[in-house]
Amino acid sequence: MIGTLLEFTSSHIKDKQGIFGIVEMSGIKIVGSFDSMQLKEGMKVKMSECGVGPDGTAFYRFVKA
Amino acid sequence: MRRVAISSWATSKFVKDSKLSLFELACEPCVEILKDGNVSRKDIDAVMFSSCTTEQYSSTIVSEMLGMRPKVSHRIDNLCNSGTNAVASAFSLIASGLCDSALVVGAEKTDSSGNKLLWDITRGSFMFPVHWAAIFAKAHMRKYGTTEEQMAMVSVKNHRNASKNPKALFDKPVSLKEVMDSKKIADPVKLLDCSAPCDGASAVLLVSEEKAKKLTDSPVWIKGIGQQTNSASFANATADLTTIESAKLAARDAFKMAQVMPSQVDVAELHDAFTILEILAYEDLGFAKKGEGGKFVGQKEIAINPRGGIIGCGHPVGTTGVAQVAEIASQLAGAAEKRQVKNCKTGLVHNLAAAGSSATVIIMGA
Repeated sequence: MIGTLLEFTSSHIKDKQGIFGIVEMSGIKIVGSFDSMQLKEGMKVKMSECGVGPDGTAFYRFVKA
Repeated sequence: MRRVAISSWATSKFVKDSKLSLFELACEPCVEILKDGNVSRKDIDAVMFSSCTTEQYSSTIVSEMLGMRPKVSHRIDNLCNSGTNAVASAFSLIASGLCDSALVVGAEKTDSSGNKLLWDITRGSFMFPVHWAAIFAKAHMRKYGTTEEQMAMVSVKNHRNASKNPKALFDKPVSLKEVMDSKKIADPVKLLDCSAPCDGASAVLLVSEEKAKKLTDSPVWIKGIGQQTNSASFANATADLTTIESAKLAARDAFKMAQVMPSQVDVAELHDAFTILEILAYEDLGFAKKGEGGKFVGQKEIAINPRGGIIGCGHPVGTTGVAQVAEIASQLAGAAEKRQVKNCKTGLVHNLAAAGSSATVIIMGA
């Protein structure tokens, strides 16, 4: 699925470190993580992985489309 | 519709580890109102309990502990927006004529299990409120050039105000450097840009005009209320990440009902759970033009968060909105002691829940 990156930043919270952003895909907005900081608002991204982590919370990962 | 006044109010000291149970904590400001408010238990027609506790029958338990047998007793839970939701419900009961008086009680313990919104899976693994606050802050910085220093100045102001409030969790001012050097949480939000959860309780007594005349010489009137619920999820809260749409709509309705303009507001308690939210509130409420909220920090036209706001006072979630209303009532009655704003006639309360997915704005007048 291809979406648009609306905004991104980075988290420093323990066990939640890393780059994260809000992505709009087919009218649905989802917050997920990115491996690269080479990002720009408005760029096209695709979901590379999603699931439920060991703590029971959902996760979404995105990469450049 | 009947006029509704606030005749008395009280707030407990906000602390990190109260030895009191939730219900004991809830009773504390109510007992103060009963002692000082010229009102007896049998005069209370309704008890509205605002809390995120998952304890069942909690409003009725608080009523019994207070020795009251009200006609109406409900708990109201809407996360951080619970307190003003309870005030709005109490207002409706009195304005409609169903009740003549309603005691609104907010109480929360730091570990209330209902404090967390687990339903919203659109946030993925970034479920902490600071994550959406960071997104809002980054978007406002990028679009309007708002700076980290401007956000930090909100924290400096609110900590300074809290140092004059004996009920606040934080009693010491902080410097701009201390805020800027505080631990990074989620860029650009730092530790001192954030409020802290705590234990605390607050209560306000709402009464009909007829009853107000018997109870007090200086009633504070509720002149306008606006409420808006956009979603439960961050994803659907707002289309524009630089605006809290629910607050904008709630403010529009509250100002219309009160027949007041933003420029007429003298004192306001704004929902500053994170510093960026106070800056967004300046714009959403019409105090500052869109994009100029950052420059509005430090203005002297309106006294903002004189009790210290949520950043300075702490954030007992279900209590916050009630404590905000109690503060504005105190200011308008000229009873705010060291933090009294001079000659204030019109006050405003702005209270949000979860990423601004819902909002309440209340306008009050002396």
